[in-house]
Amino acid sequence: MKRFVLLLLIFLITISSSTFPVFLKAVTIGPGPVPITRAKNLEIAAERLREKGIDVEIDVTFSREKFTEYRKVFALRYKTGQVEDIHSEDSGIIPEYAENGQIIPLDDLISKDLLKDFYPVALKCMTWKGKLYALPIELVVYNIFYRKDVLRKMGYTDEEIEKMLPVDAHGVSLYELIDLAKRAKEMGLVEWGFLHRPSPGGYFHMITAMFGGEFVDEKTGKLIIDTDALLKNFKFHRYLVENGLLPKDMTSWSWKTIHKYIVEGKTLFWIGGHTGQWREWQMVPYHETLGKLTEEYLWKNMGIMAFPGPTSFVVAHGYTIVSRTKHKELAAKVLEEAVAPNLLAKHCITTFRGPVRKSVLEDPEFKKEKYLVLVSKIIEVARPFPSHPEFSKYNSLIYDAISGIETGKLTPEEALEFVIKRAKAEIKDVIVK
Amino acid sequence: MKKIVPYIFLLPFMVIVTVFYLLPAIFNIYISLTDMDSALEGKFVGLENFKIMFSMEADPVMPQVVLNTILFVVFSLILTLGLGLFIALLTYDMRGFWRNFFRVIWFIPRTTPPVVWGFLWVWTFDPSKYGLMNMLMRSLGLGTKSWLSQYPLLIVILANGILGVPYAMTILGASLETIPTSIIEASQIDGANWFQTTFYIKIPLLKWPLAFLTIWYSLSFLTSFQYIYIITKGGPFYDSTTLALYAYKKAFMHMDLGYGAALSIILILISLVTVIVLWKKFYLGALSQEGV
Repeated sequence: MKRFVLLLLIFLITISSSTFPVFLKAVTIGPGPVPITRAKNLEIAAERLREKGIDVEIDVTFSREKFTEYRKVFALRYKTGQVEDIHSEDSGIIPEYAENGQIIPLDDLISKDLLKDFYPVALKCMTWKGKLYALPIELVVYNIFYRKDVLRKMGYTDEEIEKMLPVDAHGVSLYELIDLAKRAKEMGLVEWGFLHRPSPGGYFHMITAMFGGEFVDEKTGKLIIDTDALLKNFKFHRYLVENGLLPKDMTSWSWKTIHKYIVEGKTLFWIGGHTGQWREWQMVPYHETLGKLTEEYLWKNMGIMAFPGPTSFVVAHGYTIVSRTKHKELAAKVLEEAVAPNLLAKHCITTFRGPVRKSVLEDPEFKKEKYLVLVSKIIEVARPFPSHPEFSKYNSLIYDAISGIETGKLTPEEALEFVIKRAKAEIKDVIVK
Repeated sequence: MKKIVPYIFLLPFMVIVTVFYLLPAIFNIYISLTDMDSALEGKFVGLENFKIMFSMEADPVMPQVVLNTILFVVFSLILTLGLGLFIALLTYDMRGFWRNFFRVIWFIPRTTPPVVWGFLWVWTFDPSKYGLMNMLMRSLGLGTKSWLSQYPLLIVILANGILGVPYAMTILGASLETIPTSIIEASQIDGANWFQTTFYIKIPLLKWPLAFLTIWYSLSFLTSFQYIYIITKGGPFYDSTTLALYAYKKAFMHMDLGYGAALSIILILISLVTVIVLWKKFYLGALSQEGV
């Protein structure tokens, strides 16, 4: 009996003196298979920490669900206490999660020196009421694509095109784009001057921003209905339709048809997209005769630029730390490792998203990506996509209003009245100014 | 003991119905009285959501959504039952290969995955020159049309209505087979033509399956929104938004769960009223007593 007790004692002492790794759980989203590096980089980060003597294991789930499903699962898992420690998300949802208390501020957990290397716009995307809630890893950059071949047919040389439509949109006004579109249409070179997205999204708000519109009151965090800028936005869309520069049924178009029109040069400007579509046109055979486009074709015939103003928006994706975690310091260490420049560079190249750190531009592999380097010039002048817990409602309202205006069911004034009425009913504490 | 046995057998199903239907419905009533959002938390707001719903000031699109719902359900129902009955009657007189051929052809929509079916309609009525209808119009020397923005409700009615036809055709076709041939032969001997046999003999004897299909599809169309979402997303503006789609968008796209639940309560009430009215209209109580 004595021997047994002694053995048990030795066993217990051994157990108590030995250290066990801390297990963290993380979930990242695709939705498709391409952004797998969002998950892989967390695993590599944990490996690197173990090499540094920090005993941490991480179990990362890579979700291929759509965002709506992914968020429903998060809400339910959070509610039942089964939620992961790290959750990857788009910047648009950050204010909502922050207000709900589902994620924690990272300001005191992430090294200040590390944050200095990030583009301010990337951090601003993840900031709500002055606090940083997510560490960004990539940026979706909204931009304008234009057809160089059409402009050449209008008599412009390549040098003139680059000077007239610089990548950072410096000195370019919306009226110049309208003028170019009108002339291209009059010359019979294009069917449409502009095409925009057929679903709610950043494009519609960039137009509001272009007219000086505001979205969120920084002091109070309340959503703003900027009536003056919104009315100008609505009148702009009405003007485009009335002048045959934009299809009146634009909101009924399918994405496939839109891409087809862009790659076949049937529109001068594609104003509803993001820089990643450059890759999409090389992967999906939208062109009737050429199929998938080569990069050479794109460089020759397509140009990219920021929205005039410049008012290009960026949406960030990044890692949040869930408030139910018991290991917030360790989770933060994992995040710091996961945003190492070489990992982010690889992630940007794989996903074709914009970089969040300036040092990514120094990565030898990233430097070879001529297009992504160009995209980073837009990031330098970009603004964060407006963030507010109820922005998705505002987003839908604006889209519904634009749809009504373009199809002739609403005048711009009626559309504004509709937005104000609905916003007052649906959005808490909205400011109408 | 004999009296208890049926209840013992019914018990597992009653438990399933309670857990998966009754309790969620009760919970839904509770959510409709709160302002629950994405955090799945909400404070009690009483009938506030219902007040917003019936206020033109706060929700000016609600009358249009209700009207769309009525038009969508009524015309989808007419299409499904009308075409289903028509095909069942036509194929009834056929025998062998051609009967099966036509019935199989009409069954294809039912075997098509919903997303594929939806996108077929999107492609058919795409407003650009690449849409099937516009290609046809152009080949006939006619101009293109903005189908999805000019006739959104009509297109979603067609898409939903046609999808119901195979099931209606099968039920009605099978029911026609149960009509004793002696009755039909007797009418023919008396000199009744095809129309008279159809309208005075066959259709009256199909009352029970027609009543069943009417109730079934009324409820189905009231709650159906996936094809509308794929084809028009409820637009342009709110021209093809039905109550079910509106409730879905509010609850799961805007995460306004309280308002979405309130909308679904209204939907449940409309469904209940529909069932009661149809039940009385078709004397279903008496029919089920007869065991017809």
